[in-house]
Amino acid sequence: MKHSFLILFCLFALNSGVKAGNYKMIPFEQLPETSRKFIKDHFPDLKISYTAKEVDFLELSYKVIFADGNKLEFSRSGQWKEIDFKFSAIPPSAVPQPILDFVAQNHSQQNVLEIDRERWKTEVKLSNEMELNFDNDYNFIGLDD
Amino acid sequence: MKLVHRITIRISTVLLLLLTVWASIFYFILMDEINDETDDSLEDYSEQIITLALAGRQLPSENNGTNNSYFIRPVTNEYAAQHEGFRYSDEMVYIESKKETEPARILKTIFRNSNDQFFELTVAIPTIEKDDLQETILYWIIFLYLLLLVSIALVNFWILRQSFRPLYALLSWLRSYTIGQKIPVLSNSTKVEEFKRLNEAMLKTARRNAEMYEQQKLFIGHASHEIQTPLAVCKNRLELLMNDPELSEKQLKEILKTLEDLEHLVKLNRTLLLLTKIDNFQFQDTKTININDLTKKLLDDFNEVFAHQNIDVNIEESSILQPRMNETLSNILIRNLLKNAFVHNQEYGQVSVFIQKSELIVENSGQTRALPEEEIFKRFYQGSKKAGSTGLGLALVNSICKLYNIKREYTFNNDRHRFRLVFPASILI
Repeated sequence: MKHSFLILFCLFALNSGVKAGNYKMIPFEQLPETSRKFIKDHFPDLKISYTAKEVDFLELSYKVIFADGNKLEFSRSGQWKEIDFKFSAIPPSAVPQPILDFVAQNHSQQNVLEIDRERWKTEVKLSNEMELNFDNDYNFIGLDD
Repeated sequence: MKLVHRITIRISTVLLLLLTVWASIFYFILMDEINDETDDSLEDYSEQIITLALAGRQLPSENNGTNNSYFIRPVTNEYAAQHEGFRYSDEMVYIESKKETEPARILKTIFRNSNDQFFELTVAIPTIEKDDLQETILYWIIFLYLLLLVSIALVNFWILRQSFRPLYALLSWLRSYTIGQKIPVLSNSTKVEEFKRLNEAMLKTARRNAEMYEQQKLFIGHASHEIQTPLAVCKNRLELLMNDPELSEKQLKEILKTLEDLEHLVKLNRTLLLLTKIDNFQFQDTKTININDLTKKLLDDFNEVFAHQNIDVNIEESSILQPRMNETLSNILIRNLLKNAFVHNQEYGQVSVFIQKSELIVENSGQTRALPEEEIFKRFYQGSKKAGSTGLGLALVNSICKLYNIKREYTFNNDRHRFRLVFPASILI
């Protein structure tokens, strides 16, 4: 009993420690290596407005806002979680090949604007506002309502 | 203090402490989470505006009904370098749409456009709703905390009382059982192993006690019975011996003394046998006894026997006392009570008898100090040794009183020993 209270208290203390904002600006260099490589590989020409780190309880993620208003989100390990290019279109090289193939086959006129990798599925938003759902292996599982 | 109460109080005390800690931690975590959520929505709002601004899109209008407000201003490179990228603060903000100043949470974000120009976006969210929410949550937590505490205590108390029911049944059974009487039926069905074993153990002990008590009673009875015959034989032999003309005067005296002692022994033995018989309920047949007549007859007898002591005897009858009891026992009861008053009296002393509807009081002078009430009714209690006293007279009185549920009392007042018998209504005519 005493121990669980101690743990609770620690969590509580930890949580209030990050209080006064979960966001913190960080220099580009502090991004995980994987994230930086991803940006350099696929968005070499884009200017970055700011790079931020978000700490939410036990979760840690990174955000990159480009100067054209588009943005990226990375997980703690540096893997991308979200590519949000709703103001233009995601460069095809950044889109996973199976999704790219699926869109080229079924929605050839459309661009991919957003890809959101969630725990159990991946959501893809096209330029015609259509939302496609894929499983973790990028197999098409359906449309979003 | 009952076991149930003690356990309930202890558990409640511990719970009070634990729940207080729990509730406070819960409250603070919740408050923190709410603050966190406010900050999250500020961050989302900020990011949304920044991306729209950077993309050169239409920014949301100020009057969008949310009371959230924002403004963007260009800042110098130095300002951007000197300040944190994200700054949170709590401030009073004037809400245009409400024309009021309200507390708000503010986030200032510095960002850069594609021309390397720095801007600062300030977004504000009023916290009045958040404060309301926090206040409501506080009240609810306090209320639920108290409710939880009370309900746990009550549930606890109830469960404990239910669980301990067999124990209390056993205790009341134990109270209802007195040794020497029939063992009452123990109906205490329980599925709890411990209580089952306790029941069995108690029953076994009670049976064993009863058995031993019975054996002891029987032993005294048997012993007294067996001693009777040899005693009578001894007496006869001594009497025969006394007829021998060759005996000297001195020898005769010795034999006479021995005979007297034997006589005492016979009397003692007879009384013991009687006591055993009374305790074994061997005097079953009852009839209506007139205590007044019995007392007067016995008083006359004792008056004659103790004539040499010049004892002043008087009797006051305010009513006829007529209980239903065994004739022999009533005789023994009154005789021993009166005999006690005469034997332990002094020369020129007094014996007074008062008879009422349900009471018999015998008062006598004698020793000028009180006797221990509980001791005098025990066997072989003798304050001061008197000739011809077995020390069993009042023990007999006690046994008979117990048999008929007669209340007996001893008090010492004005140098007078007062024995009071109160007959229960159940045996009175």
